[in-house]
Amino acid sequence: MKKNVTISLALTLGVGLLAGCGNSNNDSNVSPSASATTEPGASSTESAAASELSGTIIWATHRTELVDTDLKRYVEKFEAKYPGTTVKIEGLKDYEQTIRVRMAGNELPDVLSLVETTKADLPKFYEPLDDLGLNDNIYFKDYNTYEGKLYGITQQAAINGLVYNKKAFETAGIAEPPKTLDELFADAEKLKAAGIVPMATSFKDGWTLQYWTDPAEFIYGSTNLRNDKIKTDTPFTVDGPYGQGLGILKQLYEKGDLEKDIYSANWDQTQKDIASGKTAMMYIGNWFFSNLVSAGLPLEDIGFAPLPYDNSGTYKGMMRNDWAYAVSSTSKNKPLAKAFVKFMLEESGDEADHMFISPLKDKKQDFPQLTQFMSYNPTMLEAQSISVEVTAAENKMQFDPFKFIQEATVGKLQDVFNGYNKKWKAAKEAASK
Amino acid sequence: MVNNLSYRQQKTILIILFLLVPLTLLGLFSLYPAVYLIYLSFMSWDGFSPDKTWAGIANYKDVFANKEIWNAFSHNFVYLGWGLLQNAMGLMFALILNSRLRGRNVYRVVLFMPYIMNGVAVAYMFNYVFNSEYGSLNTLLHAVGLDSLAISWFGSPKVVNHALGFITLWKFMGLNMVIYLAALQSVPSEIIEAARMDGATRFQSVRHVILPNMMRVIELNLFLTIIGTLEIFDLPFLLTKGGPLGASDTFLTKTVEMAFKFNNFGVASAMSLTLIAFVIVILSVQRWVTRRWGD
Repeated sequence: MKKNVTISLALTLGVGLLAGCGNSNNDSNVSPSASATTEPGASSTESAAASELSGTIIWATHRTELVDTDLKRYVEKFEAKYPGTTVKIEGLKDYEQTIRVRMAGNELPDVLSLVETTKADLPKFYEPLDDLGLNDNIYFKDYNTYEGKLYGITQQAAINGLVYNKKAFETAGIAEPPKTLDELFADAEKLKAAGIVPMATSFKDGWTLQYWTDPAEFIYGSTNLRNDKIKTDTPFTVDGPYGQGLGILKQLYEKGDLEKDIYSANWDQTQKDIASGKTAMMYIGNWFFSNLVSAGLPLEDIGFAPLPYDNSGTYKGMMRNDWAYAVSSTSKNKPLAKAFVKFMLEESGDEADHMFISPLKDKKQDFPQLTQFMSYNPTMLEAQSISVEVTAAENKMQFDPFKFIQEATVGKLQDVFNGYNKKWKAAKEAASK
Repeated sequence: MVNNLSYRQQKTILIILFLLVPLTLLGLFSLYPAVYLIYLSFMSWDGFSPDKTWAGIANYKDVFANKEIWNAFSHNFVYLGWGLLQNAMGLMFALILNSRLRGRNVYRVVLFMPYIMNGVAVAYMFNYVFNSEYGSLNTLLHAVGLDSLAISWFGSPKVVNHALGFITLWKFMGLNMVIYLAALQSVPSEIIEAARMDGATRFQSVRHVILPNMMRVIELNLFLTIIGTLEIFDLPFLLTKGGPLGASDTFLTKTVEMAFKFNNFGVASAMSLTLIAFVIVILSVQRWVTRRWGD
């Protein structure tokens, strides 16, 4: 009996393997015809570019929670506009890992969220998007550009600022958001007196802390801070940008302005607490609004202002990119894939539905929080991609930016920085060899 | 055609044919990946780019020079400590539940139940139990007035590994107990009776008659426990992500981090092989100790 089972198992596996081979053969049989129909200029009878679009593409996305709702709606809209086309959505839970495996197997989906590689590898995996005609109109153009060619367009731009619950501020008797660093600490005292936790961090989860390096870049005056590390052996100094910038979070921690037990403060709880007014503020991107709204906070109760990083009363704001749309270099139907990317950016209505900032510069963005933010006239900085050398050295030293911020917040700053400087110096030397 | 072959040849062909499938599967899914792992440990590879470069033993040097990795490995020994306690308790419960006890089957089921539960579910359950503000454990401690004991279980670096170690004990003690129970029932009752007639107390008969008869099974349980604790991954990964500040990182969470976060598959492979080597060393020590004790 047992033997039978083993044999049949072996047979099924064997057949499965053979079937697998068959499938990929089929794929490659399909490909020439598919690409023939879409070859630009191949069909002289058809003049309109739109009518040439046909066939099927696969769109892999990290936005799994929206796959069956909004994203499906956008795809239907696209298919209605270009009859005869099909877009299959594939929501991937562990997005980055899954795509990396497929990268190694050379099986990327047609349209995807760009997974970062070294810049020199971009042409290996992705198709240039310069012919979409969006080059002069997008934020973060340089982020995924290599040798003058554009390989990815960010799906949204996010502005980081102080998101706060207006009701919580009212309860504590605070009329408007803090204008200086001293006011920030004073407001925190008022909030504590009213029994409200002043600042949320989701400290345990770590990734929510990444925005706290913004003040360091404000003080440095440029988003080159992380890349400029390569010029020095001791990038982390207590009285330098890192020390002063992260010092803001550290002071909040030492004054007891963060969650009571920061080690169990997590993302889920943070959203609930800000929505309910138990916690007042968080320094995070504007995309956080829609989370708060779904956690039950009415949109009009959300305030959004730049974070004061010193006592001068001038503001700076940080704009960060997100996952980028990209087309795979091995796609069998590039024209359709590109048309879809263009559609998603220009016509889908994605940005209005989810209250984020479109990467297209000429799109009108109007929601009250953004108007409020801009009314402070902040100088806006654009985030930059991390250079190849810095990435190599950081990976060599196993630099985890989240953990770095956690350690700097709770540890003795000088000791933490000394440790990281030492590792940085060694890694930089090893990586440059 | 078959008739032309001798019986011997037919037999050989048949054996080869039958072996072909399992051996191919073994090679494909087990040997090839293992050999590939060894190969990768000597290469420098970021996990996706087409080219790998020869690194020699540099990866192993990196592993042994990295203090953080060994610091994380030391956390595994906390789990090992809890694992030994888990074995002792499993044995104790097995001895108790092997006697004529009212409702012993109910107790057996209750104690074995945690092992059946899905690991992720267990992790989330204990996430609730140990939560410092809303958790049931701290609520209980506050209710009985032990406020000073109601600490942040996953938040303090000194306690976090013990909290996680306790969860492994809770989950796997039932398995140990069931294996010990089976072994206890296979100890011949004649010897125990003979010992009792010679005037041995209960403790003496356990110490000198029952335990030596179960040596093989104790060894097996220790073997499972040691492997489990040295390769612990799911609980810290799900519950603390190695935090606070790396205090609950284990060798395997570090390995996964090395491969998938820092894109260093070469060093990660070298770490995996180092772990295998350590498991072998520690298991040999354990075997040697239990053998000596058994004799």
